[in-house]
Amino acid sequence: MYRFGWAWLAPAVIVATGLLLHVPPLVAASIGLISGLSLSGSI
Amino acid sequence: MLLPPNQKLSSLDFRVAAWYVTGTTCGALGTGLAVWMLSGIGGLLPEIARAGVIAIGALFVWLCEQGPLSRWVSLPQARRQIPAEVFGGGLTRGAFRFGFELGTGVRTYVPSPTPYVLLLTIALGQLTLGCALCAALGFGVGRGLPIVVRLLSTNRESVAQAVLRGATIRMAPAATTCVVLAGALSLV
Repeated sequence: MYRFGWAWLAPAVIVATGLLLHVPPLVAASIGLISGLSLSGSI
Repeated sequence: MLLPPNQKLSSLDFRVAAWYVTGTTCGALGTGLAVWMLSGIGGLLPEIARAGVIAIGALFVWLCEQGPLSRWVSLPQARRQIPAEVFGGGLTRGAFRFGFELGTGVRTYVPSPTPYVLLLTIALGQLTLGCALCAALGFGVGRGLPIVVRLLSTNRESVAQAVLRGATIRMAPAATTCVVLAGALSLV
């Protein structure tokens, strides 16, 4: 299966940034992105 | 496979990828909106209880998917592949339908704990509609992103091999579940 390996770290950084900056939509989009990537065989 | 493995890509391949990502995004937005509309019941619980349920739920889901409970507890999911008949109306239309069904997250296997945590977050987190849609949008884009990467990389095989290094099958789901849970708890 095609995998990105550690590509999930990018949205994880966005989650952290959203948390630090208190931007809920950014955090929401990032955790959605990680979830989608995890199902795509990319994580 | 929606894209040819080693051939030169044509404009049709770009159209197929675009429709596929559009499909995954639309499917995810549909599910996200539906769950958000049912999320009012979460308002009956105080904030700390909702956060607790999400945290315990995330741990339970991980134990069921990757941990010792995987032998005994089976999480709800459609245990089937999406049928090839979705491509009956042509490749681009089929790409959209295939992507849509994948994007809903309820039409085929769910081999990762994180979508369940995301679902719990939308259902119990008392998110605003905007946040719920952002989460769904991210899910749909993430579901469709691999095909875009394959489309954009000039040497798709080498890219796949390069990024494979460092990935461990058991650790990645645990780490991603923790990241998603941290983000989820911040939204509650």
